[in-house]
Amino acid sequence: MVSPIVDVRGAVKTFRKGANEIHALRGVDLVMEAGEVVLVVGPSGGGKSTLLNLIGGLDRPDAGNVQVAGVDVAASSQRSLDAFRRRHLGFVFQFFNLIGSLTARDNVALALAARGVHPWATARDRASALLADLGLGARAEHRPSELSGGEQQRVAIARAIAGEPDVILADEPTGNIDTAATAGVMAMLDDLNDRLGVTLLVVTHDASLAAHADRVLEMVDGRLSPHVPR
Amino acid sequence: MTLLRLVLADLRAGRFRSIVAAAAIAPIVFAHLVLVAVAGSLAEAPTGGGRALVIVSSNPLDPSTGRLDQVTLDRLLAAGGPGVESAAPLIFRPVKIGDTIFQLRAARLSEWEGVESLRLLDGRYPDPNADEIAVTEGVADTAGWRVGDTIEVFSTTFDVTAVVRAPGTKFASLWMDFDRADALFETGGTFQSATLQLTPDSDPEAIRLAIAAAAEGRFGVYYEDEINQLQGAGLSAASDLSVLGTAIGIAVLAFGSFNLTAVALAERSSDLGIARVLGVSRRALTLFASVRSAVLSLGGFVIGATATAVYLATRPTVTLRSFVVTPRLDWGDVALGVAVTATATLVGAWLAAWRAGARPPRELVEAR
Repeated sequence: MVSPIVDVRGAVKTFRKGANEIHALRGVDLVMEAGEVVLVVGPSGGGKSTLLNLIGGLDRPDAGNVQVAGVDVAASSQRSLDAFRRRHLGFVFQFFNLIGSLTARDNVALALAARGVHPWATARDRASALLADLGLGARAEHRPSELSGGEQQRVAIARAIAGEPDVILADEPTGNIDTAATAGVMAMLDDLNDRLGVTLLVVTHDASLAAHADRVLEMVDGRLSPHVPR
Repeated sequence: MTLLRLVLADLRAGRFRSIVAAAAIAPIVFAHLVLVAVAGSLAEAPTGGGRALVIVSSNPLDPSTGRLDQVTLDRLLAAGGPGVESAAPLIFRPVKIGDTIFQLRAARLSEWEGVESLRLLDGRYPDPNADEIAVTEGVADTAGWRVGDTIEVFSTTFDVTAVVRAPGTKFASLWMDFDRADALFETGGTFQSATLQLTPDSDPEAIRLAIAAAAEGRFGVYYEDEINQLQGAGLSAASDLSVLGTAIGIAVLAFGSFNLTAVALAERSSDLGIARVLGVSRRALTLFASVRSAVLSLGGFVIGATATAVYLATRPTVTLRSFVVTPRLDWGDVALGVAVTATATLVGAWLAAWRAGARPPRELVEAR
């Protein structure tokens, strides 16, 4: 039997702000098979991003287990999590999160260098090729501030797939781009899944993206359930 | 190499800020290196010898303020008794030649070697009846004067006829015959100090105390060795303190570097977080911040060292009260300065970056 690539069991996460407690996750279970595309929809503040952070090793659950690609994320040291992210994960954020002082090419090359691609010239060459594949060859030497939102998100996707990850975690990947760019970005993610078999976990408040997913789940008040279209 | 390229790319992206950060380090490096050069030249100066006594101004650190005349000297010598074999008067004047102040000393030619411990290195001693002058090797080195050159002193042109070696605080000075200087400066027979040779069987301490008592505090009476050490030590101590001050200043750069890096990282918490998300380790990020800081401090050091080299090239001598010293900067001093600066900034940057990297990646990313 093949183990799931993502296996979250009973994940609980509570944030404390002064005397207030915010229950972001209340015992969430999520199992994903390799190559699956899962969309998690739901309103803002429902706990979607928290779930993504736990799976990505950016935060730790208060209770429950998180296993990704065979790594016990909840129990790993910070150093192990760095290596885990390098080897297994790619991230795409709503606000692109490109490094402003680096060109598009160097943003992608940095991910490759972190993955152990050296020397720097090799990492840059591979980054150029990747950007060219995604139709950004002419924009490779531009800094993020010189690119449109859609272009920045495509650079972020190039960066996410540069290290050939097992899983891509996308947090509102279309939340900050226009409709035309949204179609382009989703088509790109579909293509990555088809060609490379990358597992995709996309969280969004936009339920119209459901057509791109194998499964759609809904996160409301820290609880995950199958999404029922209304 | 990848790290260095990323650092350079990062510094280029914030070019103006990088230049300002490097330039902030330069002045303290400049001050430190200049003072090290001055202190170094004092440490190099050889000291004189002998058991002769010297009568000088009551402020031995500034002998140019003394004013002795033959009558006063005779009275003091009489107080010293028969143990005083001879007395050699010395005129001591700071003189400005071009933009530089030099120490001019004038003694009777017959006393240059026996009393003043000068040694002829090149040329011949000046003719007391001609406008001729000698320079020490310290002056020859820095001013570039050689035998056969002419220099203008007190509106009179003198031929340089000799390069001499002089001990102690005389290391960098001009030398003239006593009578020629007396005429040139119209001193009316006054002079600034006198060196006393004692008979072999005399008690120098008893003579010193007797003359000091007769001087009634208007003049100081010292052993020649002692005054050399006193003058050298006074200057060295002042200079060493200054060097220490600037060295501490450089060490304080560690705090500056800490703050600079902490602010830079705080402004770019999100970038740090993104790097962590990509799997860049805390250690690698700390190394990045430290190398970035080291490159900036190295830039500042290069600017400071270049300014020092230009300054020392245009001002070959430095006047400390009545003493003229020839600052010399050697590679050891520069290397030490580089090491201290780099260490200070590395420590500061390392601490700041290590602390910044302790925040969870999620917090860092959300700091945008």
